[in-house]
Amino acid sequence: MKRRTFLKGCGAAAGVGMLPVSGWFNPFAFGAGLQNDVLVYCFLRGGIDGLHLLAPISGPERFPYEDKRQNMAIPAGRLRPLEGHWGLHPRIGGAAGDPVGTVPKWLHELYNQQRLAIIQAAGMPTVVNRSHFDAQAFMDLGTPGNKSGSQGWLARYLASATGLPEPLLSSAFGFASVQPLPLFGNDSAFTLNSAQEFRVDGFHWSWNNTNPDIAGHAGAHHQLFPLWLGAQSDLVQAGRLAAEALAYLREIDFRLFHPDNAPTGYQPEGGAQYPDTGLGTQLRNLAQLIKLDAGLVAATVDFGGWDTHDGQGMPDPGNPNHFDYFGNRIEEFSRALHAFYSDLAGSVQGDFMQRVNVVVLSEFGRRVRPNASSGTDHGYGNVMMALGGRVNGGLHGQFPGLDDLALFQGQDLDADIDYRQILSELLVRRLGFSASGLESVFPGLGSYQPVGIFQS
Amino acid sequence: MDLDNVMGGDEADELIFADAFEAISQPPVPFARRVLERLSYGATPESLAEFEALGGDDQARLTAWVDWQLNPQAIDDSHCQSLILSGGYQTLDKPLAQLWADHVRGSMSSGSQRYLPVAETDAARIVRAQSSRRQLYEMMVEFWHDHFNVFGWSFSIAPVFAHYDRDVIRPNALGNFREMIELVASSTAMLYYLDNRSSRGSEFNENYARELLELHTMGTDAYFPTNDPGDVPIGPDGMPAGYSDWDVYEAARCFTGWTVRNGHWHFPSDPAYDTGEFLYWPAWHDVAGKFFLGQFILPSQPALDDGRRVLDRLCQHQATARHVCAKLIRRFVADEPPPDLVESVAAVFLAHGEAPDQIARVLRHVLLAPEAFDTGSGKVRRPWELVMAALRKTQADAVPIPYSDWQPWGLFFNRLNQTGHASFRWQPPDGYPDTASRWTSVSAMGQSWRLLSVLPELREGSVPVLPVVALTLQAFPDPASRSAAAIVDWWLDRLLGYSPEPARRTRLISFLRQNAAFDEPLDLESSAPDGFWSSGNLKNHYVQARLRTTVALMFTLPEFHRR
Repeated sequence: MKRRTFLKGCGAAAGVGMLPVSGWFNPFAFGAGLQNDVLVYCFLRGGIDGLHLLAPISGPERFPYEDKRQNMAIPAGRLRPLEGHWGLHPRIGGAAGDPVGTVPKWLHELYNQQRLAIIQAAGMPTVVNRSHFDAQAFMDLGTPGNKSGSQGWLARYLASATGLPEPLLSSAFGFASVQPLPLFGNDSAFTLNSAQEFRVDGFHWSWNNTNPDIAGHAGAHHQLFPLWLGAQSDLVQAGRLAAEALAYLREIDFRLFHPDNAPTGYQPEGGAQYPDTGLGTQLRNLAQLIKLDAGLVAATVDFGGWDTHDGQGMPDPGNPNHFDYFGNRIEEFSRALHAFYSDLAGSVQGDFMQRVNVVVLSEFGRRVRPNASSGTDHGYGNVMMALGGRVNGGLHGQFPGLDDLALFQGQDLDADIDYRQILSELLVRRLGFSASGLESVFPGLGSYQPVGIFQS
Repeated sequence: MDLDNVMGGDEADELIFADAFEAISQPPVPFARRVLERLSYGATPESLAEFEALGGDDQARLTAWVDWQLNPQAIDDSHCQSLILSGGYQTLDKPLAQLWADHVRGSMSSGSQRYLPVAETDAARIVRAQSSRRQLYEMMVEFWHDHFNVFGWSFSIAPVFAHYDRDVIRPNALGNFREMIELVASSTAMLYYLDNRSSRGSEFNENYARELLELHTMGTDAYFPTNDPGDVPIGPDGMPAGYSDWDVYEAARCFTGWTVRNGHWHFPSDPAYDTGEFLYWPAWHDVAGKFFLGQFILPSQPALDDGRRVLDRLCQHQATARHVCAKLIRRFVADEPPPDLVESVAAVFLAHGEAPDQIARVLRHVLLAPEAFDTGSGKVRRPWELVMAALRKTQADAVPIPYSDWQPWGLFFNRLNQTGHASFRWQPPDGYPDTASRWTSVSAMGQSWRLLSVLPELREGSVPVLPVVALTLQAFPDPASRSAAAIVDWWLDRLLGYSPEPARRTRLISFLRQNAAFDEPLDLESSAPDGFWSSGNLKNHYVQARLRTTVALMFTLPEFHRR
């Protein structure tokens, strides 16, 4: 369905009084849903310490872990045990006041339900780079070793995929204030820091919104689209598209439902409790957009603050007053992703998580040995994560080892699994992309080597 | 929900669904307007008057204007300079070593204090675009910032960015390319941005060398992806026609040892080695012989010599001339540079390689080319340029203060960032794009309008940043003359210089007049600063606010986007 067709249909419906009554605006109340899979690329900017997120709780790696991590080693009794010899940072599965024995919450709960995969020894085995900017650019552009390309990997995917649904709004949303690198070179992707903010709303309040108390009063934003009517040119067509997008998104109430303040706001489903933070809001907006079923194929979300050179923090589960920087951060992340999952999986429209696939990555891991400031410096190999209804949950990848000979350059966890293989697997198994076309998305990838994270 | 209303009612519907598009008919834009919208951040009554006073016909006026602008030091710019002074900026005049001592090593090295040098350069850039009479020079400064892009807001570069702008880019914006490129190569900002500071010996880092060839000089059109320099054909000038990966590696070796006095542990532990200034560190230089672009460089040359030979060779190359000149033409003439023009401009570039005013000569050739101001160039204002045009054409004399209160400058910069075109924030080394297609995305346009819509509402205390109402009252001293049609036409003339498509003009008038007659005067003076609440009679409802909104809507017109 094309935008103009929708506009026509919607106008006609409005004309006969068929106003949507649900809390969110569903343009496809007039048509069938598209049912396509969605890819969510969630980047933990700054280099998360994967060894602080998933640590050996016992077994042969526990001694070198304690030996090398020294004061940054999480005591075994403070980790939330997984299978084998591994344990999660306790704040992934509980608040500061929750002892490790309490029922796992959030991502830990989803892990236990086999919906979260954690991949060890992931990263960029083909290059070594400890600069945030370079490593992020390599990953986002999908070209390890080259940060100068003008197209991101998602832009290349969208350009080379065939049979993508015709989007009502856009195939791709980047939740960022400037166009994110993975979408570089795609001119139809929407870049929004938050959906609420993609609004032309700066006019004086008296003319900003239509005032229902005054007959004939029309808000100034209603004038934008008509000002772009008239003679066709590339510029005018582009402007009309932008004006249309603004008009559509304006009709969607992205606020969180509140009976008094936001009665037409969005009501998360499945008991989802999004944290009231930037990440929580972006994921809530994204879930709302996904439920519109309007041809959204890919989205990027960033969550920074992982560059813990100083005061990284040590968990003390059960002590609600204990300050733990990393723990606060990972708890927010865990809560937000869990809310996103619950909201989409528990929708009355059906289990959206059967076709929503989240992949979580970071530019590099951190040095095994801590520095003098109770922090960690830039390292190499790291964990990645994948979340979804069609994810093979659990631990994947071979832990590269912590003894002196196993460490990369004698200091960092090694990286065996090319992050591009995980993304390729997502494209091939979930989005139906042809494995033979992967070179057009990831030039120089070499052979496609699925790890087994996603179900076909 | 009433989507009819959302999209502008029946009139919009008919035009969309009937496919009743009018034929392309661009209203004639007066020549002076065409020149000044393209070569400045926006034509103003003052700049138009200056232009018109310069000669007897269009070409004579253009020639005289370009020659006047190409000698910026001779143009009195005291108004702009006093505005910048009034901003109380602290970092713009700090020498490099002082920036380093204060913002990298000293008490201002964390939080927003660290970023003050880039933030204040950003603010001053806005004042200059808006108020400087040296408009062409300021546009060239922007051109070179894009060409020699660094990510100014990065942790490493932000504290020294004032130096990069002031001492590297600005002095040679109309000067000599060879001189500028060596200043860039040895600048702290570029040495950090493209990692050459840590390129040493056999572990050289090719990052800078690759971008030097690919972006700063020869361009990818001249790239032969091979490791064998013998695969590159020889051009008519006897030089290899392009460069190979071999040449990238050899160039990288030539620049080993070009680094920064950043207190590296290899350097003596002496404060003189921690000043943030350029350092040639011989111990890191690969002294073995090199073979670059068809020329041998013998082993153990004097300090800096290898790198300088690379720059010399690159600046004499046809491919460099074509690449740089094509970008200049793209900036000032058309998104797709006409090949003949590229060739003739490149010849000027090469012929004046030694001239101290090489770039001014090249630019003059571009701007005086017969095709330079043909109609329908397709150039559009990028988001930052849209905002500058709005400030400039409303005589705002704004002086943005970074890290001040939310209203007005926090809000302003926040929304500017959302457009994707705020200053010095482009992360990859290729600089902000300069073609219409990159800046007419839904995001770029929607976010630009988001900022433009709020511009007339910004206030410092009670003083509006854009004196929209004051200018209108000044233009219409007689209250009886203040009809919506007259006011809209006055503003359209000021902002565009011609009448846009009639339907757009009509819509603007309809919005401003509401239920008043076309020629009925509006009450602009009651209840400052916004007007009266009026529940029953729309023509009396917040008239001042409605006037500001009408002007904001004009900023979003297609005609305002064209350059």
